[in-house]
Amino acid sequence: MIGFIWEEVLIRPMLNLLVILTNIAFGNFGLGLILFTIITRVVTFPLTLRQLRATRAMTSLKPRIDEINKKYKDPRRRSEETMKVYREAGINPLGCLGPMLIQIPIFIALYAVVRVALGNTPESFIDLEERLYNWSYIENAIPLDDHFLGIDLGASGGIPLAILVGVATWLQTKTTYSLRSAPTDPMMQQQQQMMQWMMPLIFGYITITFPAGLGLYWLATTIIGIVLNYVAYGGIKKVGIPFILQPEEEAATNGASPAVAAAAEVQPEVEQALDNQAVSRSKLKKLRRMENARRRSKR
Amino acid sequence: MFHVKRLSIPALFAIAVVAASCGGVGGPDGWGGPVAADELIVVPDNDGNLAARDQQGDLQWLFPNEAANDAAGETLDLEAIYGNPSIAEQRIYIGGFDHYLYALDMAEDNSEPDLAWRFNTHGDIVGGAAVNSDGSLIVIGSSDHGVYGMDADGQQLWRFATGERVWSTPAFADDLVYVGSMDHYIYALDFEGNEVWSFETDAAIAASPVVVDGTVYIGSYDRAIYALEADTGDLLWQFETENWVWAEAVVQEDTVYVASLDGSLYALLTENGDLLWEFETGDGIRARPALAGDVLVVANQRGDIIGIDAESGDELWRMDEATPADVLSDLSLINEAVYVRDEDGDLLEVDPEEGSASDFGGDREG
Repeated sequence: MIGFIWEEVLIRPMLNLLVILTNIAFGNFGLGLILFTIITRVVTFPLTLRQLRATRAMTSLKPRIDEINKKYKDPRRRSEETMKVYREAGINPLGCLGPMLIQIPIFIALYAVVRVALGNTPESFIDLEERLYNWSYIENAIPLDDHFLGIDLGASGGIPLAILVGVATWLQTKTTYSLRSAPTDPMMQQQQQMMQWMMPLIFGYITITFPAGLGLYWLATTIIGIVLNYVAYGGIKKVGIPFILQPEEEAATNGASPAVAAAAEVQPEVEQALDNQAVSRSKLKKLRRMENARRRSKR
Repeated sequence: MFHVKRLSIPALFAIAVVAASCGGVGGPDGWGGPVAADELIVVPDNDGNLAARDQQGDLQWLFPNEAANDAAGETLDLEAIYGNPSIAEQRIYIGGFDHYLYALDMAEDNSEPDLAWRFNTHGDIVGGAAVNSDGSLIVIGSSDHGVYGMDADGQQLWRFATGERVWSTPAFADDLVYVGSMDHYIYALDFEGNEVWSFETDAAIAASPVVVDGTVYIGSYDRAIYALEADTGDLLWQFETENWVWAEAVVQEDTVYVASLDGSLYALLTENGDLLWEFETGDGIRARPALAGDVLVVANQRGDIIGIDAESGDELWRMDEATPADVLSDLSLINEAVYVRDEDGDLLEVDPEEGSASDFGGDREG
């Protein structure tokens, strides 16, 4: 059943879509792959948007989280309080992982698709034919032009492409992390630093080891990710590239939900109540309503 | 907590991709079919070797051998052999996936052949070699997009460039040689490698042409079989099937038999392409059928071997999944028996009259 779903829901549609896009892109598989990347990014954009919002919201809640970290030594309590703040702000911290997780099946399926589509053995052509839809527009497109800018997309990617993939991945990781203030926890700092170097190395290695088509996809999707970072919240500014769009200070109230903005500025009495849990739930709600009303009247 | 999750993502990627690489498309196996060479039957196995068997199926020799390795100055590895071996003037020609065309001199006592020469085409060879009537010109296509003409000493005489891979086995007729290319064209070349005419189909051509009585028959990935005037390339007729036509056509008298990856075998009138009958086998057919008298023996991919009355299209007998592995190799009629090679390299000897089969060696005995 899983195999059937994998084949019929993911592999075949993706393969046939890629062949159609290759046809549209003047018969060049590399250009077809870039079109595919753009389409994938458009389709998964709602998830990406959620990630961007969640990341920005978490950034705005950073001072509050730092305070919780300072205040509570018990990790369980600390985690509970942190989750409470996120819940009240209406954000799901796991929302950050959505676009990344959706990339995993796409990436694996694309690996299988590239191997089938650009296989150079006659047996691979038989496999390919069995997966193509019964439409002459698709079937007549075989064999696909597997070269793009001098790179054989069906063969293992070379060093230059791996370097490009590595640099792009590093840049995307850097821009993503630079949105937030540096974590106060030394262990987290260490993990973050390790990620900045590990991700480029892993994807550089994948590019060298696996068909170059995968490397091209990752390069294209990463570049789009960097652009999205730039457009969404000026991540590039923090790594020294001039940026003229939305300053980060505005981000907390501009793009994030009102609840996030409010939660970022929780007043001391509410905070105190939260920390001590000395008041009833209804009292807490009342305090919040009062605080929100006060804030609105200020504006 | 979330950082830990993020750490696991690249690791998940790597594990998943490595796991995915364990299945799917494998390396080249080869699907060269069996051919008679004097008293032997030579057939490529799925390790890139050419095996010679006697009439009882006993292995006589394997190529490459030590002598060939010594002559070449290296350990030869053909990777896979897809084209059927060609026999002419006591020589066996085989194209290797390692880019080389090999010429082997057969020994009179059926002992191991000598490597006469090998020629590097700089591209995977998938088709077989064609040799003209006096053995002075050998022509073969290559995945480097070229068609090569060589003399009997293995010296390149010419190279004709096409726009894509050439997987088709060329065919000689009179003073022209015909070959299909993945660039959608079939070309007619003279013996100096000059183009005399070309004909464009709507898709790649991997099938080999057959030339009979001044007509060239060739299938294409555009699902059609074409009949062309051999001298001019003018289209006489075309017949549409439901899938790629990769198998070489079989022609006898006024009928051309066409196998398609749509799983059907079509009998057409050579004169105008009119359909005489159609036989649905149940799975795609890549292998060229074999005609044994009035019985047309066909094998589809999943290994169903079927005897069909060539005139009426009626099923005479059927052996479902007779081979352990898929059948993609051309069927051969040798000494009134039909030989079927599967993708494991096993060889079946089929009695076309009785519809029975017996194991004829192959890798299991080799």
